Amino acid sequence: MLLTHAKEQQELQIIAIKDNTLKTHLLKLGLGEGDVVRILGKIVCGPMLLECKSQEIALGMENIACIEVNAIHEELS
Amino acid sequence: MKSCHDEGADVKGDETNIIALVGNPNTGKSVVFHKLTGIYTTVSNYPGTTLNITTGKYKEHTIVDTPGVYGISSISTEERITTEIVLKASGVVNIVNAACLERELFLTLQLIDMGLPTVVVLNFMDEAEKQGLLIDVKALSSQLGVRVIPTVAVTGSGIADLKTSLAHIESSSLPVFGYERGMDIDAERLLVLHSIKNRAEHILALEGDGEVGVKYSLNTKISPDKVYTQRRKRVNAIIRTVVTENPKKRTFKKKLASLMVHPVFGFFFLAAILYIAYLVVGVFVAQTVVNFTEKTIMQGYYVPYIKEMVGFFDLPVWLYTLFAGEFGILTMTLTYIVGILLPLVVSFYILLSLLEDSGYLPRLAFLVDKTLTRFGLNGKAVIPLMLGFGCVTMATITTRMLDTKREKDIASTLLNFAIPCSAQLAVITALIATAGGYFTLVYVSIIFACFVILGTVLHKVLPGHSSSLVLSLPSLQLPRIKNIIMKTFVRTKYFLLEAGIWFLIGAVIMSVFQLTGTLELLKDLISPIVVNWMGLPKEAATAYVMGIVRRDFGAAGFYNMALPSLQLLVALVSITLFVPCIAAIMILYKERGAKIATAIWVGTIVTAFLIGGLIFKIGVVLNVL
Repeated sequence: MLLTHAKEQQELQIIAIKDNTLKTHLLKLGLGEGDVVRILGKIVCGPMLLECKSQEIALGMENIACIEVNAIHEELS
Repeated sequence: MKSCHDEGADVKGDETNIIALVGNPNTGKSVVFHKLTGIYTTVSNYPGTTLNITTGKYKEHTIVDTPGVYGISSISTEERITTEIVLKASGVVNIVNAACLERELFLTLQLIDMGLPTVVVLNFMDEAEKQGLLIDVKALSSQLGVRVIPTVAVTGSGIADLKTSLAHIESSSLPVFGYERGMDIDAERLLVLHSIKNRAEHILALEGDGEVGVKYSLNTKISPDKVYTQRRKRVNAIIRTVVTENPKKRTFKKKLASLMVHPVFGFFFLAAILYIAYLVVGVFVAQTVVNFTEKTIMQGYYVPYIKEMVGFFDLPVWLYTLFAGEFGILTMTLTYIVGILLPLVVSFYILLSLLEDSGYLPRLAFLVDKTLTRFGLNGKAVIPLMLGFGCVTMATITTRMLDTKREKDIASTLLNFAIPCSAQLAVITALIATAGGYFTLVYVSIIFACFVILGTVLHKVLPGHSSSLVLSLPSLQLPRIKNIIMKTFVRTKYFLLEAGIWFLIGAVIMSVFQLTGTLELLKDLISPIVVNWMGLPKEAATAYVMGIVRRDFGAAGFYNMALPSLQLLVALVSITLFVPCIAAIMILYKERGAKIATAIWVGTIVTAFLIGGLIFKIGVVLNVL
């Protein structure tokens, strides 16, 4: 599924980052395919806040739509 | 000290002894720079604080503080500047945030891969410990093949070790990693790559870097993701062997951080901050403190004393007018600067510094991202926009942190049209408070509406593409009092020097205009607009003439006019939207070019008078007095 459809507090594994520029940028920030992220915050039709490897990364809506993920763990907030 | 505001990496001095401080944003490079050279550069808790290079001396070394970057390449302005510097440097001090080691080692490995003599400073060791991260420094050093020095730069811990290491910084002792093995490179490209003898350039060419590619006539459309993915895997492998995690419980800081970005409570939090700022600056400082400094000290004691002193010398009328007249250098200029603006500006700078150092601004960027995309910006633009409330000139420079030219153009235009700087805002707050809460609300709504309309129009008409948000959020920190004081002091000094000169020039011009009758002529010239269209007294024209020098100078011109509420609203809205100060226009000219700077200058005059007149006409129809 696309990251856009993820819920808050959900844990997901990044399967693919479809945009090469974004992929490069995220690799520099420490986020790549295969990494596990947790959704810390979400604004409807807006950005998402991810937690990955003890850091928080905010991603805009266009970028979220380029990331394919698999849900690995779900918990209630 | 040399501070370079140009978008280039011009480092002068002994080019054989340059040591570059390189690291991700928010790793404490500027603090380390201060500890080494004794020179203070602005330190804040958001990415992009350092957008220019600053140089200083430590013994025989030229130390260069570079903008924070996540990698070495020629993709963005700050990465290009940093790349140019590291390629010239004889050594690199790579400053790493120990609490985010996994992210930061990517740049470290890139520097090492490039064969650059490197020493790693593992900063924020106290923060890593608080987060339950145990780092085996010796193991890390042997995995990287370079010296690693643990530090807490703000307290000075580890800095002595770093100073000792500067004399012999060496390249990694480990063999060169062969990225080519995992890549599918055609024979022709491989041949060119092998002909590049400089190891740093070889790595950059392998990554498809544009500038190095052009130099060696290579295809520059190669994505670096293959090299980056391999490097990221190497980082992950190192982390597994050197870091032991003992996660701590969810702390108050984390709870507060999540509240700040909550889609509902986040806005309540923002409203609370703005209300506190209004109570401090708008009520306490603007009314109580300024009343004392302006009325009691300046008008009560200082001005009468100066007038008497200057009168004692029996000077010619023109000279007396110049020094102690209505627009006198010693009377009006000092009253405006010391009596009115100084207390307001200092209080504003303190509040802004608290916001900057706490790490709140990047969280605000997340919260308002959705709103700002409607104006062709992303959440990151909130940082220069908020800094504009401190100083529009500096904020215009900060727009460099935005990713595309289009975003920089939009943010710079919004800043110079609809964001009042601290000095102007402070005078406006003091004046509007006398008209009451209703008029304050109307004033804020009108300026906000102008911001929204302008942003929407620019988004619709400007060509090009805006980027989507990618922002790494720093952890929340309790602001350090020493840094708040230092930052407020540096900014106030800059304000006094910059504003002082322009106020002085403005006062001289106004005095000359008054003596030669030009002021009356100008008043007559713009009185159809000021009096007939905007419903203001003819004297108000003087404020707009003064406002051409600086908007706050113009706003202060309304201070003693005792205008009724509607006129005050018209005056304050129009002076807010009026021309940016001369320093801001000069920076705008340099950053965004003559066409945009001229368009903004002319556009602000037309908009200010147009909106001012419309408010007056609507006010009259609605019978608002």
